Amino acid sequence: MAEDEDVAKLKTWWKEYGLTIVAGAVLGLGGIVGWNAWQSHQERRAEEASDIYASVVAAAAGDRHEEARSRAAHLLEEFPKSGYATLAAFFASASASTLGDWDEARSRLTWIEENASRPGYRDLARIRLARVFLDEEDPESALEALGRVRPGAFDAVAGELRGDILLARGEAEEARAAWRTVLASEHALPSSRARVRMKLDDLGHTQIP
Amino acid sequence: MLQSIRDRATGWVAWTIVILICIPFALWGVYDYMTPSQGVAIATVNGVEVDARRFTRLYQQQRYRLLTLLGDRAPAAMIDDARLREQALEQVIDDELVVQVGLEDRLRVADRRLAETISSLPQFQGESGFSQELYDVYLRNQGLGPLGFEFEVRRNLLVEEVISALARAVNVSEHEYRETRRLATQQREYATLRLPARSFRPAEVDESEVREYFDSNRRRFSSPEQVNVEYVELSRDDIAGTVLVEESELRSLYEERKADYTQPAQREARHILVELAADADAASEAAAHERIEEVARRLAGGMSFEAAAREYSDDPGSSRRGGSLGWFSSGVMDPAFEDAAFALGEGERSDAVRTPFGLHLIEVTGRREAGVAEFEEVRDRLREDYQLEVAEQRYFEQVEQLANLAFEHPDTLEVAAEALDVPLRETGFLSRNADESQGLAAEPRFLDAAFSPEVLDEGNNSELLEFEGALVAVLRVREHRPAREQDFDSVREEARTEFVAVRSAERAREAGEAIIDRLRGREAEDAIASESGLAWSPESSLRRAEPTPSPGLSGLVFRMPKPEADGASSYDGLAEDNGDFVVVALRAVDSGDGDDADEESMLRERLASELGRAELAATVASFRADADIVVNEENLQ
Repeated sequence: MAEDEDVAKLKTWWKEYGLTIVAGAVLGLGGIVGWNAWQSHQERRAEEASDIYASVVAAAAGDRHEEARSRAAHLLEEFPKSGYATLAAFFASASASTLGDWDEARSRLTWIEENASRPGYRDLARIRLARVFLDEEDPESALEALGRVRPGAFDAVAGELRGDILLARGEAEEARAAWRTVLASEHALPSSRARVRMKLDDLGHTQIP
Repeated sequence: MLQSIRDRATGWVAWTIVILICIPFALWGVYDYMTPSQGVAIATVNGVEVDARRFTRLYQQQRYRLLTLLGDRAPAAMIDDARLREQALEQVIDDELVVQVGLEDRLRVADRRLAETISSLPQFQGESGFSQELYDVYLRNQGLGPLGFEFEVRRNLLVEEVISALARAVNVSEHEYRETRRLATQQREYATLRLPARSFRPAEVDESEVREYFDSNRRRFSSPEQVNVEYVELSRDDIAGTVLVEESELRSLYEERKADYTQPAQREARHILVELAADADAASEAAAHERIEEVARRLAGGMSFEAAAREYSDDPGSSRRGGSLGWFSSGVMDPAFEDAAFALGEGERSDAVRTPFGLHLIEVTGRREAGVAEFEEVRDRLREDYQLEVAEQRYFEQVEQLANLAFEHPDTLEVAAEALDVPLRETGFLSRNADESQGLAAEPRFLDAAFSPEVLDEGNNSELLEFEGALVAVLRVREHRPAREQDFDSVREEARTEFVAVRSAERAREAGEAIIDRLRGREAEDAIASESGLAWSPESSLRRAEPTPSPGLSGLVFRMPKPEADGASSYDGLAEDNGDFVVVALRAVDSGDGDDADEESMLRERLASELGRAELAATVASFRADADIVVNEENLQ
C-alpha cells in the first residue's frame, strides 16, 4: 500500500535526520535564548553605566569636582567600551581642570582623542586639550592640538582659541587674522561673534604707525 | 516536498531564518526610543523619519515665546516666520541626530530613572508629592497616552546625557577668563568736540542745487503707497444690541432663572468707634471702656446718634455722616462687628463690641434678608445677559457664514454684506503707517492684511481677521495708489529743508575730519577748538557695553585705537543722526576694578556657558556633516 510505504519512508527519513533536526532546533532556540540573554545583559550594563554617568553629571553640576572625578574614573574603569566612557571622560577632564590637576585633565582628553569612535568627539577633545596646554603655559602644544582639529564644524571654536593663544604669545597680527576667520565662519554662534568682535575692537582695527 | 525542506533547512537558509527571528529581540531596547512615526514626516535623518508634529510643536512654542516677549500688539510682520520655521526645523533635526548618536553609542536610560524623572516633574506635584490625577489631566490636555509621554521624556533624557558632556563639561582656561574679564570690565576715558550741523548751514542755497538734490532723490519725495479698503465687520456687541426681547419673554426667563439672581442678606448700620489698639495695655483699655460707656449713657439720656457720632467717634469717615456705614453684606466687616450687626433687629443698638480697631457701638437701621430679587430689580441685567447669549450664538453662525462667503466669492464682499445684512464699510486711503484715529484700520493685523500680496496684488478678499473683544472682519482693496513721484513744485519747501540739513551735515563732517587729521598730527586740542569757536566736553568715563550717551558713540569709543605709549590721545569721530559731527579723543584705557566676587563668578559662569554652547553646536554640526539628511519642504507648512 502506498500509505504504508510513505510511513516507512518517513520513519527511515526520521532515523536518518531526526537527530540533526532536533539538534538544529535546540541550537536555534538556544541561540535565540542566548542572544536574548546577552542582549539584556548588555542593556543592564548600559543602564548601570547610565546611572553612574548621571551621578557624574549631578556632581559636576553641584561643583563637587572631587566626587565627579572619582565617579567618572570608576565608570571609565568598569565600562571602558561603553558609549558613556567618552562622555564621562569629558567630565573627568573638566573637573580635573577645575581642581588644577593638569595631568589628569590632559590624559582624559588624550584618551578620547585616541579612542572615541566619533570624529566630532575627537575634535572636541583637541579643542579642550589646547585649553589645558594654555593653562599649563605651553602655547606650542596648544597650537599643535588645534592643528589636529579637522577643518569644518569646529572652525569658529578653534579660530577663537587660536587667536587667544597667539595674542598670549604677543603675536597681535596673527591673532587678528585668526579671529577674522571666526567672523567669516558660517558655524559661529552670535555670542561667539560678539566676543570675538570685542577682542578685535580692543586690538584696534586701524594700524597706528 | 519534504526532501526539499530537508535540503534547504540545514543550509544557510536555516541560519537566515534564525537570524531574522532574532533581530526583533535583539533590537527591543532601541524600540523604546524609535516608535514608527505615525504622522507626516518633515525630514528624514539617516533614514529615520522626523514626525512633523514634533516640528509643529516646537515652532509654536517658540513663536508663542516670541509673541509674549514682544507683547500683544506686535505686528505679525515683526516675526520672521520663515526664520522661525527654519530654526525649529534645524532644532528637530539636531535632536534626532543626537538621539541617533546616543543609541548607536549604546546609551540607555533605565526605566527606574525615567520613573523618577516623571514623578519629580514640577507640573505633577500635588500637595503630597506626585499626583496621579495631575498626571492624567496633563496627558489628556496634551493629547498623549502614557506611552507617548514616556517616550518623549526618555528621548529627552537621552539627548540630555549627550549634550551635557558637550555643553557643560567645558574647561575654561584661566587665560581666556582673564582676557574676557579684562575686556568686559574695561573703562575708557574720553572727551568729545561737537560740531553742530546748524553751525555749518550753507549761507545761501541756490534753487538749482535744491533742484539737483530733488532730481537725484526723487524716490524719497514720492507719496507713500496707499490703499482704499472696504470691509465687512461683525461684532458680538453690535449683534447683541439688535436682539429684540419681548416683555413676556423676560418674565418667563425670570421665572426660569430667578435662582441665579438671589441677593445675599444685608444690613444697614451706623456706629461710633472709640479707638483702642489690638495690643493695648490695661490702662488704655479701661479708659476706652469708660469713654464708650459715657457715650452709651448720653444716648440713653436722649442724645441723637448722629450728634454722638460726630462728637465721640474716632472713625473719621463715618463720623461726619452721623456714623452711617450704609448697606453691607456678610464678609465685608470685621467678624465680631458682623456678628453683632447681623444679630440686631432694626432700630436696635449693641453694647460695646471689641474689634482690632477698638470698641464700637452699633445701631442697625435697615435689614434685607437673603432672597430672590424682584423682577423689576434684575430686569435690565436679565435683558443684557439674554441678548448676549443670543448674540453669541448668532455671532458664531455669522462669522462662519462670513468666512465661507468671503472665500467662495473671493472677488467681492457685497455678497457677504448682503447675506449678513451688514454695511460694507470703507476706510478711505490708508498708508502703511495709519494712526490710531483710524480705529480698526490702524490695527497692525488689518494693515498687514490690506498690504499682503494675496489681497493687494491678487485682488482677493483677506482671510477672516480676528480682533480683541469678539470682533472679526474681512477686507479687500477697492483702490490702490502706488507710491508716486511728485513734481518739484509741490515739494519744493520740503526738498529745500532736507537739502539744507544734508549739506550742513556734510560740511560738519568735512570740518570734523579735517580736525581729526590735524589732531592726529599732534596739533593742540584747545587751539583747534577755539579757532572754530567750539569747546571740548569735560572728560567722561565709559564702561563697555554701556549704551550711554549713544550706542554709536560708546561703540566707537571701544573700537578706537588705544592712546599712544607717550600718553597722546587717539582721535576718531562719527556723524550722529541729527547731522552733528562728534570728534572723539580717547584719553585712557583703564582696566576695571573687577574685585567684586559676585560679578566675577557670574562672568565665569557666563563665559563657560557661552563656550559650552559654541562647542555643543560645533559637535552637533560635525554629526550633521556625516549624516544623510533629507528635508520634505512640502510638509513644512
